[in-house]
Amino acid sequence: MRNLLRLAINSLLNRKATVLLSLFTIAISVLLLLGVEQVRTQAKNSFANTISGTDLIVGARSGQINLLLYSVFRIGNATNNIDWKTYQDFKDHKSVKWTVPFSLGDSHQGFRVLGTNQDYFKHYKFGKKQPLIFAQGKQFDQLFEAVIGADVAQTLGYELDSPMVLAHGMKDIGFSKHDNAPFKVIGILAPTGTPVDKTIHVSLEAIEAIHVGWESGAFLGHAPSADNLEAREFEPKQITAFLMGLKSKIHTFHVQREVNDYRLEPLSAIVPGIALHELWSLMSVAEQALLIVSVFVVIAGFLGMLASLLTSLNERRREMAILRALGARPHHIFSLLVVETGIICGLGIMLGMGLLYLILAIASPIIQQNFGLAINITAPSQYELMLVACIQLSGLLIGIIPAISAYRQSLSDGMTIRI
Amino acid sequence: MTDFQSQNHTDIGALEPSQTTQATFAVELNKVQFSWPKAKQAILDIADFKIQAQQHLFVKGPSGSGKSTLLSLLTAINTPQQGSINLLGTDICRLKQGQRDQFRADNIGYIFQQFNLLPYLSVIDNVCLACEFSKQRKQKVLDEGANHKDAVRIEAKRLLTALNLPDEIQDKKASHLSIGQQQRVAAARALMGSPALVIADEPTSALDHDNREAFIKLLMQEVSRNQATLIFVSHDPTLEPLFEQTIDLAKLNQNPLEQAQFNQQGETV
Repeated sequence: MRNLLRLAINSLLNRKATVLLSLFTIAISVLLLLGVEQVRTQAKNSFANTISGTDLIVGARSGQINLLLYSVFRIGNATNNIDWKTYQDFKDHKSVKWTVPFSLGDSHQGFRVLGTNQDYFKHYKFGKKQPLIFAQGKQFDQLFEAVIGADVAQTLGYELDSPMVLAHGMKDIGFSKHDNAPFKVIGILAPTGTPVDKTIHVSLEAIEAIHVGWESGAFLGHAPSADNLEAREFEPKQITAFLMGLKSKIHTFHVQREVNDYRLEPLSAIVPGIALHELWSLMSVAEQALLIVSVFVVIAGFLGMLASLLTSLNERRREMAILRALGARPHHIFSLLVVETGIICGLGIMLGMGLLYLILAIASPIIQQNFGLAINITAPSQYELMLVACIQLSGLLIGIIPAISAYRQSLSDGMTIRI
Repeated sequence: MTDFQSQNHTDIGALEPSQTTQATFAVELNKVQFSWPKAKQAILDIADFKIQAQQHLFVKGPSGSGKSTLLSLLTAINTPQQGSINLLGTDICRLKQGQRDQFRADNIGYIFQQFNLLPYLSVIDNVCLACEFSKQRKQKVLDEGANHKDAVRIEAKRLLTALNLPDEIQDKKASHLSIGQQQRVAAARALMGSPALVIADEPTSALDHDNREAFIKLLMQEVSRNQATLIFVSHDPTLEPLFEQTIDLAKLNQNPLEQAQFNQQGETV
């Protein structure tokens, strides 16, 4: 067997060019398969890390995914608003430790504007209960000050003190601009890899202030000047949603039921973890599709290897006849071919994995910096090892095909050398 | 009956079948008929053919005379449908395929017309390859080399040197050698571990005249040294005088020549 291995290695070295091509095909398909697997698990992790430390999210009555989408992911719109008094009721609830009010609806150049208060910077957590960190500047304090996420700053090229005009709704055109009251960037947040990066944070009062004259939903009245507005006191009348932290997690479902049964207006409360899980399971179709595509790439890689092995067989009839003349049995020839494919496949897998970890090592600081997504370089998971084992096994099984032809050829050719 | 056989003809009847034959004859074919699968008629039909041990026999075989077929029988790749073949006292028709492969590995050194060597191995590794599939031949080399750990390589080097292949080319890749050199390497490999039977299938057809004679003389010298039997097949009659015995396969094979056209597997050269 050791002799066969040596023969196989020498024979492979003799056909470097085609062997290297097959090897790279396998390596790239392994790279893709494991890469997709990595992206999938990392995306799932980072997705689950979008919000943490919050026990309940409360909004107007709707499905839990809708509420999760607009409150956390800034996708879609609320079905209705919550009365400020309702918010006050729950804020003072005996089981509630803290709340963060959200007021959504305005935008700036495609980025959503979130009206909130200073508690947001204190209580909003992501990842493994990481708090928001300021890359530059500080929290908003004055009426027309804004704190922007990392993506907003980068995409729009904003720095501290950059002026910005918010727009009503998601349309950033002509008449729907709150151009009477321009904002000033007072703080820029460090990247988090969550929708926070794409959000512009202002105070609830500012949201009220820029909507003076917009009470009917469209701008009808006369917009007061910014100085005029600053002199006035604003108390929000409505908000869109609020986050809730409880004194004890044991009360989560109790408080949730209380919110859902609230008499004065129809509300929904969701547990972020459960809602995130439900949302992810919706996305699993895409995840499966990605996996299937990479499995097909692996199959294509194998077919490539098979094609080059079968082509080489005809050129190698001479080699087989020599071995037969020296007393090699057909099963030696068979094993030789299987060992060869085994080696190509094994080296391909190793190369593929090496490339994957190399890419991860190079890319992970860049990704961390630009997207705030922490990619952990870990040893291959059991699932990944199983995938790799499957590839190796299929490689050996595929090696049986040329091995059988070589076996047959060596039986029929015997001592005749056909060229 | 051929002229070659007639010499020993009178003795044959008197011989005891088993032990005595082993000593006297390296090859015995008796009423052998062979046809390839799907062929209607036998390509080879040999009534009686014996080769004495340690003889150097020239087999004249023009195209279509069933040369390839005879070689596949003599190397125990194929077995005849009828009759018996005795190689070195072993009835190979009774052996299973795997046993026949082992028999070939142990007892037969084979030299092809050309392209004898694995191009990806060095010259010396090509020669050592002969011992890879046969414990018996390896053991013989080890015994003669007093179990030196490199006995196989030492013997390979000795044979290569004896066949006029200098040291400096012994570690080269086989593909870097001239055809004449390659054929001598093939001869060295066929002689490794002193197999009792050396079969050469037109080994000189790619060589020029001077090299041809030199090659055959070297080969015979080493074969004699090993006390082995040499069967040398060729269609080149000019080589005939170099051998002590000659046999014409076209006459030996009782099948008329025109049947060669049914030969599907045989060589076309």
